[in-house]
Amino acid sequence: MPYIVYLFSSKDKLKENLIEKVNKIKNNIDKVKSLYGNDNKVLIKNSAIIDLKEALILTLNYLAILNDSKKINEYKNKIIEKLAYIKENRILTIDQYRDAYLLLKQILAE
Amino acid sequence: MDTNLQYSYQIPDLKTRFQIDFGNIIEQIVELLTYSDVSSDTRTFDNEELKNKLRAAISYALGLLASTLGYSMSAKVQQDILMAKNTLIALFDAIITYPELTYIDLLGIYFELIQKVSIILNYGTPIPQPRTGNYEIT
Repeated sequence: MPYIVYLFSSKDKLKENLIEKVNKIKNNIDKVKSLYGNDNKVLIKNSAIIDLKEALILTLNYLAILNDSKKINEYKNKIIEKLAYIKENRILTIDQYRDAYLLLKQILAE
Repeated sequence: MDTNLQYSYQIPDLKTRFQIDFGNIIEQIVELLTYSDVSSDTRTFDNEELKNKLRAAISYALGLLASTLGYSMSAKVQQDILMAKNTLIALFDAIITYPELTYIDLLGIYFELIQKVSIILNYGTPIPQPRTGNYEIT
């Protein structure tokens, strides 16, 4: 299916997909916690980073189809900042990873 | 059956055609943004590649927008479509004019593009209505 059909199918459908991706991020965080406890210095990379990037880009798409507002613009800038940070560093600490997850949760709750 | 004819049967309207072409290029952009510069992957992000793909996507969006002209729309919709057109042209122009655009700039352009295409798709492709009433030929 072409990406746009999925992208512009409906806000609800897009949100549904986004919830799935965000849950995946939560599972990654839980896995790290079960393996390393509360060690905040654990580094996240590879497939868990790809999961986060997928979720961030999908969120960017989701924000783009919502009505334009100051708040959406703020969220957009935060998402772009996070993507740019990941591009530069490739690796995140579990704290930074959790921080990105909380931002995505906050956007979904709006 | 002639291939072109078959193609036109399978893709009956411009909106569907747009969805396929634009969708393909957006998919490539998303892939580039997601899988490059990850430690487990050898792909490295290329600004020029993203710029070229964004330019192609903007061109498709302008094509879709052009196809909406001529349909009757409310003044509000007309204004939104006009604004979308101006933004898309400005985005295209920015990519050509400013070679030093950063990754953050390009993500901003991607966001604006999706936003404007969403507006065009929501408002800009009405089904043409048959004309009714009496017309005076002068």
